[in-house]
Amino acid sequence: MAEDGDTKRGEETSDVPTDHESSGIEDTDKSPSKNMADSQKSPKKAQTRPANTISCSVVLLDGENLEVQIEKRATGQQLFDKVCTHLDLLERDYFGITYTDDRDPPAMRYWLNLEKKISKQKKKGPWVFSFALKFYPPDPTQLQESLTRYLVCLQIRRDILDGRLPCSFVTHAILGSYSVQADKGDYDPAQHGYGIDYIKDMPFAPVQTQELLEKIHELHKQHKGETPEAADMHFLENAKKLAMYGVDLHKAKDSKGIDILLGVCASGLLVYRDKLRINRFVWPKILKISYKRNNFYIRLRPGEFESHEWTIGFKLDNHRYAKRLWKTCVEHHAFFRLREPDVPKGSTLFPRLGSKFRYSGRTLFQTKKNLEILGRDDRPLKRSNYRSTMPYGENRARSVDELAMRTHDRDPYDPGHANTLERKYSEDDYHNRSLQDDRNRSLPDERNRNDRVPTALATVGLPKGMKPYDPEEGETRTRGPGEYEEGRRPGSRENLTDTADRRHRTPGDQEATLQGEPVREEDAMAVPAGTVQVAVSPKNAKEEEKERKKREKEEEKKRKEELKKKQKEEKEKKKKGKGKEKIALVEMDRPSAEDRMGDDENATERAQLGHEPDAAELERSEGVMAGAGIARQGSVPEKEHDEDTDKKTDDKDKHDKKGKEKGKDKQKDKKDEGKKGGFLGKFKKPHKDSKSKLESPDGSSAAGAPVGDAHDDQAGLAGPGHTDAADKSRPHKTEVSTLTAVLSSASETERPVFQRSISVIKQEDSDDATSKDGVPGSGEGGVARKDDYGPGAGIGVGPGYSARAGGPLGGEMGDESFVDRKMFFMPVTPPPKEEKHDNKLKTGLNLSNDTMPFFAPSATSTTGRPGKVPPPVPVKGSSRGGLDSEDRSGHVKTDIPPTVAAERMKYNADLDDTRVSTKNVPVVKTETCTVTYEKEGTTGPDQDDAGVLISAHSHSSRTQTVETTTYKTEKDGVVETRVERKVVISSEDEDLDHDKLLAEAIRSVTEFNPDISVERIECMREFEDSEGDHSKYAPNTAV
Amino acid sequence: MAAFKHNYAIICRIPQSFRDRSIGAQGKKMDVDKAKREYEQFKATLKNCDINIIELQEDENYPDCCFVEDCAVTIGGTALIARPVASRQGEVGEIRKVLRDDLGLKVVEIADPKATLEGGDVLFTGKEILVGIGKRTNEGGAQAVVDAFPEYPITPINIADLDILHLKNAINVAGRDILAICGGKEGKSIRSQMEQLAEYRCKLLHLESQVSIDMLYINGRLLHRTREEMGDSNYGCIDEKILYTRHRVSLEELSKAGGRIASMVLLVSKHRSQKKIISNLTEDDIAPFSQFKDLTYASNTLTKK
Repeated sequence: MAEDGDTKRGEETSDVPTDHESSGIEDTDKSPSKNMADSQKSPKKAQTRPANTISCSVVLLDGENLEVQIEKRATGQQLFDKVCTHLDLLERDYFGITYTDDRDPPAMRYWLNLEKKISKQKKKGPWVFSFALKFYPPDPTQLQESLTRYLVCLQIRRDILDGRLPCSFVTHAILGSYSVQADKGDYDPAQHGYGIDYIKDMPFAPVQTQELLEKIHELHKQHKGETPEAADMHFLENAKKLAMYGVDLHKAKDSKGIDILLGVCASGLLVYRDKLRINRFVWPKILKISYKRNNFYIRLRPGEFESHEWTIGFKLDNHRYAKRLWKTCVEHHAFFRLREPDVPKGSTLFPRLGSKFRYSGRTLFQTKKNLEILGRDDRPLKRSNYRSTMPYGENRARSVDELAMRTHDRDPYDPGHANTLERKYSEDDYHNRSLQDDRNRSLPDERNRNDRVPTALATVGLPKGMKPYDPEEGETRTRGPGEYEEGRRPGSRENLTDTADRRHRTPGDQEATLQGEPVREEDAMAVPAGTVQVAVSPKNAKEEEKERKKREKEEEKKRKEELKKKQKEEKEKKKKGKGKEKIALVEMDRPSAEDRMGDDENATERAQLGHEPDAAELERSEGVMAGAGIARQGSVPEKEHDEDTDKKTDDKDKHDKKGKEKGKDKQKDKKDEGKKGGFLGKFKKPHKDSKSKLESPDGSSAAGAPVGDAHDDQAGLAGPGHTDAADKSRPHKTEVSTLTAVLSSASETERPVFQRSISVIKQEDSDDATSKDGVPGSGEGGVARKDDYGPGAGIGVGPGYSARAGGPLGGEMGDESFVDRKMFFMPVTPPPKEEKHDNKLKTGLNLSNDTMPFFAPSATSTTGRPGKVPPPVPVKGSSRGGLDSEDRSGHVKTDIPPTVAAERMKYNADLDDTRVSTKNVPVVKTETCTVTYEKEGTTGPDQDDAGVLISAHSHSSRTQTVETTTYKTEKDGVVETRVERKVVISSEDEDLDHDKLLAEAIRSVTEFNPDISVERIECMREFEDSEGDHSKYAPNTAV
Repeated sequence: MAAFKHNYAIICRIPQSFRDRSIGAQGKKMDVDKAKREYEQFKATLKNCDINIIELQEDENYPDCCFVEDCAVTIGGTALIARPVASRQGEVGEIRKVLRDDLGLKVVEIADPKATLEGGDVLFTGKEILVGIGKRTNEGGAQAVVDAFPEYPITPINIADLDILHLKNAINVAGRDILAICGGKEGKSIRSQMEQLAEYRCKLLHLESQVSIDMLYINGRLLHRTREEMGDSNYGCIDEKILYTRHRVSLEELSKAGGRIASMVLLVSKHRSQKKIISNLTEDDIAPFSQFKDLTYASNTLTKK
């Protein structure tokens, strides 16, 4: 609430009491007289028409109290649109706005007729409204966007607390545990402490007991690895089955004067007496509904053996209630039963005495169709905002947790630093950004949407040569929304973005298509957050921040220095080998990287800090294309952007629009992406500039074009094959949010791939950088990388996510089913991608990418898990130093002997097959060494119960043999699946890039499944073939 | 988690007092030894059903104690302790103890002092709950079911006028989305009420006699009576329609006392961590969009002619 409140305050001084967040807020509204003052506050609208505007407050589902300046003569639609725009809600037809009538108790809420003027409906009292779910979709899990599902979840949680949706203890526990998982992420004793204290302030049930909390806690522990989106899905899967789900109850009396309840729902009208359903009239059974005074009538179709129509009357307390019930029935019938709304007949032959009211919105059928047309990639959810604003204690707690989580995700190793830094920034930024945010808010989503469609057409027209920029396009899109979002929640940017990224990563499989765009946004957001965490500062985000804060400036300086260092490092790395760079990138993702070697630290810092670094890294990775030069360019533009930041905000809006348009275009014609890409790249560049994040884009754009081409090819290759994987990878995408942004530009099919690729650490960094920085170049690089990695990363990630999704969705058997998938994952990367990478990365970036993936998975996994379970973290923490040093030192050619990974996986996801192929890369001579990374506090695989052998697969390709053994152990009712994977890389070919293969192998394991935490990685490198007992990876190098 | 997946079955041995005190036996002496043989046979059959069996010691004070079904209603992790007729209320205690202490279910008690409820009147179809309101269960009992299982649509079925003791005498679950319903006026009455009230559709297997619909669907298997008991035509019908595993159980003697297969056992699906609501609801069941348009709205009855 504080955040929102702050932002609002920025606009309007302080009319509305921010404290009244909860649904009951009615009293707190501003009086009309205050509106004038408010108008002054909000520069945009208020200034133009101070006299005619009124400020009304709308209580959102998360408890946020949204202040809206609106004309006094405005219709309900205008208000509704403003609210939906604020929420960035696309599937808005399910929702509505309620108000209260002074004559009725506050609990009695009326739906605002969107076609009529607000002033005609809300006649007395302050303009306080509530945003609520009006038509409960029969299957909310099929809602297209995670945002919509999230809102439905919030509504259901409210319904449960209100007692409108009665549940048994067991159901409260089930639903509550998913709420906790969505709000707080994985259970992490370090974060949440032992016991139920961390959820004791969360409301789950009208009456909640210690026992319930304990049960929720117990279940929550078992949702480990579920992204917030997945948790929401599971929540909805259960909630939709509840008998009273979506039933709108109205008190009435039957003809005998007995108290009954009339329930209006999607299927018809239900009659309850003492909670017992004594009658049920489905819509087909009802011929006519009407009301007269306080009577409500339904005329029934004659039954099978009846010849007469029946008319049944019910008495309500007064005529308003009768009309309200009638209108509800009319609307529900129209929405759920009709293909298109019933148009009131304009017949003037007979003057109508009654209401002409008809449902005027879209029907369920139409809204579904509409969304198919409008469809956008799933947007990144910024729950932190919502939740932070939520009136409920849970939300608040959650926001804090989220922040922490974010930091953890990004920097599993050094969570503390990142967290503190981020938080500070976020808080400070909040106020500063509020103004900008407000501006951003003003932008209507519709415009963007509209723009998108036309742009799509335009994109088609674009020359094919533009393809390479597809990723950029995606970026622009993402940027658009991202910027918008950022603008909305200035403070949230950093934190939110991080959270969003995590969430995206974690959530979900199913939502992948939707996520694309959101991811981008998130990515953009995430990057800044990452930078913030580092404290070094994301340049782009920082730029804005700098203006606001001196700290940021300092950070920027640091960043620049770091960038310089990074550039140097990059050069060095290039010299040393791509592998090192990759590692560096990986490290950068994680805050802990600082601890690592100085060079590595620099690199990591760069990555974390800034878009610039990221971009540079990306560029580096691209290597051949731009090389260091690109990075430099990127940095330069960034600086420029900083200067232009003021202008940028304005430009951003434009850019956003453009980006959206581009995004639409992309969506429409993925194939045309290449062509579009060119445009997008152009657009993106401006956007980036405007955003200030875009600084690097110029440099990147040059590189981006080639990359884009490569990406296109890759996308084309990966896209079709990986579509399945894409679904799976979606969660990954979310994690990699930055990547997703890039991906979004690419075709949808490609997107998933990209998301997968995101798992590669470098890619993530680059993506983050690109998205955050808005630098086209970086974006391109990220895209290219994504594409390249797409197969490999996609594979790894895909399974993990799919496992998550599958786990909940698939149910009990998920673990077993996953095993096979795992097999598929084993293959490292598709050859075509590699080739591309090689081209791009020849400088050495490729290696870095590979290594990146290795770490990246852990990073991704951590991100996916809100920090509770840093699966790879242990490895990083304890072994990182060793790894880093090894990697870095050995990068030149001796690096990365470590192999051995023992993973504990709870969920396995479906994976797509990917071919393993490796080519090029200078031969690296290595000594025999074994490095074992173990998760802290985890027992070695030996200690674990042997469990039941579920499956053992081996998959061999030309250069490697992957053996996957899956054990299942049941402990305390928790089924643990332990997967041991041994990858033997043997090569007779000198050209084989062992580092790369190793990195890929490790990546494939670490990324394998985000739900699975890596307990142990052993790397053995021998000149002679050897296999470690526990080593999952036993890379053998033959010189 | 689908319904009808059970992992515990509570059964109770037959007491010697069953000989002459069983309520269902109208003045006739029961053949306890034969009943016990049937019980043992039933138990053996149950053992083949992939389920853990909890066998309770018989209680001579309650000759009907072997009909454990009436003592509670269990769905998922929730158990509603029933309130049978006065002469049998003592049986509930042991069941409660087992459900709560041994199985760790969330036990719910009936709040309404006037409510009566026997498990035989509660039929969980996998998607909704039918509660027969009649001789052994009143509306208060149905209310208690609503309170205990608010997740499911509860459909009260009036069986007071029918010649059956329990709802399950006339209708039973024969499989996933399959209900077996007996002929005669009982079946007809119940069917018409279900059509009016029940929310979800399922297939109905029409059989002639109450004996023939005496069945128990458990873990993908169907237990039903023998050919001799139900008659060739009914048996043939089942033979034709039910393709999954079937076990035949003879309850000749026990059925004289009102026993049914389902009444002999209280099934529990106990999961340490239940993550889903137990329900067989599928996407098809959830209000599919339809383009029917046959309703006229009138804000005022005067408006339209």
